[in-house]
Amino acid sequence: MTEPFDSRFTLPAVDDPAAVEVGVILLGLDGQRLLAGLGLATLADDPTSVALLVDRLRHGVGTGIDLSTALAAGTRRWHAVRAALTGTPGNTAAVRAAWVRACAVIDDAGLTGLGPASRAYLAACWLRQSEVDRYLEDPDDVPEVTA
Amino acid sequence: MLPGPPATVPAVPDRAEVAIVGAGLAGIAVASALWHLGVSDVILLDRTGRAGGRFFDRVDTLRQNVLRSPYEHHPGVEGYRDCELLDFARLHWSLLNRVERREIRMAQAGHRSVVPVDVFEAFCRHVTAIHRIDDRVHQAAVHAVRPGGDTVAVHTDSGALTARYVVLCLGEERRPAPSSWWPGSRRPAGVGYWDEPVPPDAESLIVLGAGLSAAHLVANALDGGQRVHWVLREPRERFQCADVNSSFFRAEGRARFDGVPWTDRLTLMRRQRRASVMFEFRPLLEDAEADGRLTVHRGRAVTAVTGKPRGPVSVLLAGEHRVEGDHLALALGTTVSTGDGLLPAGLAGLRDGWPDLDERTLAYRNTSRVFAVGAAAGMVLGPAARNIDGHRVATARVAATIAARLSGGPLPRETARSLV
Repeated sequence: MTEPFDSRFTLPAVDDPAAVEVGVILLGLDGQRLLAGLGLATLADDPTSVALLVDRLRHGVGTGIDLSTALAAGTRRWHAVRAALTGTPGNTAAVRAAWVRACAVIDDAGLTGLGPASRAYLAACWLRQSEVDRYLEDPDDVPEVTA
Repeated sequence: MLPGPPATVPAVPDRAEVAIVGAGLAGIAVASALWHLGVSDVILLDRTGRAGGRFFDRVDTLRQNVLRSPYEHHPGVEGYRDCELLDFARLHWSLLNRVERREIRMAQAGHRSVVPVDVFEAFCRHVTAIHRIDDRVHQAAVHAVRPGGDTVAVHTDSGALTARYVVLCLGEERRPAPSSWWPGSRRPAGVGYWDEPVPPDAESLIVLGAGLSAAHLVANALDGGQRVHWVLREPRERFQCADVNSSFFRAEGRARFDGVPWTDRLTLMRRQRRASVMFEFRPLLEDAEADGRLTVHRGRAVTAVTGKPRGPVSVLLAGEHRVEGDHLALALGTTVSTGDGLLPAGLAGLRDGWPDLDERTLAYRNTSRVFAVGAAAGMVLGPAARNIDGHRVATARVAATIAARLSGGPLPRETARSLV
């Protein structure tokens, strides 16, 4: 059973939904990877596959698309939907609760045709919007936290 | 999204900047680290032709479904924001069962936990894919490494390769049976080693050895309904949570080796290399012994082995005691491949069976263009050298040295000091 207080220091239950576990991992990614994943999310239904594909592109392992193309697609998509995503993420250490709330924001935004990967990457970008926007302003400003 | 290794194996090229001999976990770690340091003209030579081939073949043969190493230990590269093994597993949460998920939670909490082999193998495939290792592995058995001038010649059964630097990631070979056990070099019918399949029609199995491989053989046979004789030279089984004390994985553990006289290191290595079995096997083995499915012959030395086609295998133990079974599986441990058989005579500088390596770079002191990563670095890095984490420690030193030399940059300070 999940402990009542959800924080980075809480051990969650083993039967928590996989989508939440994957979401917590996505929250650890930097802005570049989130945007690239958002750009690729239309190609796969599964956020895990997208995360690993982004890892391949970062290493220059081609699959018919490169990182800059994925980044450009993700940036366009982020700019297109950002205004529709209401509210602010706030600052909380309860990452799982924050993830569930972020997914609700995406679901309530009236966006159509979202698969699980797009929903997950949009939720992550919404929650990490300050890092995503900072990356778009200055791609060389890499956060020190290992992602 | 994660393609497997290429179906066709290209011919071994005649030159490369770096040749890695052995594409096991150590070889993968070295190639990955070199990739991040901008050294891409790297060739891996491996007898199986597959990255991690022998390791996973052995694990499959033993039906070992978890590794003893924790999630922190993997052949990926630190410091470049590559996906870590623990995150890789969590990304695949939906594919894990409750036990596997609980192990991940333990790892998150900082406890020691075990890693499912299938998760580890999938992660290794990801690592080899992103660092372009699969298409640089060539199937070749290396039979000689000959340093000369500014290059090193690597002779294989598929031709010769000239490299500027060579990294030996040779791992460990199975320890053969003593020549006194049977006449001639050909082993008797019905006798196999731990890394070979046990015939499925064997109704009874004899297992020789006291380590984890022996325990897997015993457990698999019991699981298949076979009767088992387990022969131990030691007076009793030795159960522990890991074959290498976990403190040796940490910096303070490795520091126990730094500045320690050679003789003390030897003593430590001998003690840590003693065979042991994971605690998890204990209930199964004790229950099977209690109900008669397993007979344990403790403190028994083997004096002879005989076998004949379609007949039983017979093992003669000290004291004229005889054990018979349909198949004999030898799990006598491993021997460290030091490079001595590949390098010109004397160049490995063996001392008490261990190669003479520079502590900062892990280059052979007698030939600075050849390096060792893996178990061969045991007398430098300690008992953890043979483990995955030891590979990473060794890799960091070797890859940095090679990259610096190739680029003309500053080298890690090499040591002239010999251990006394």
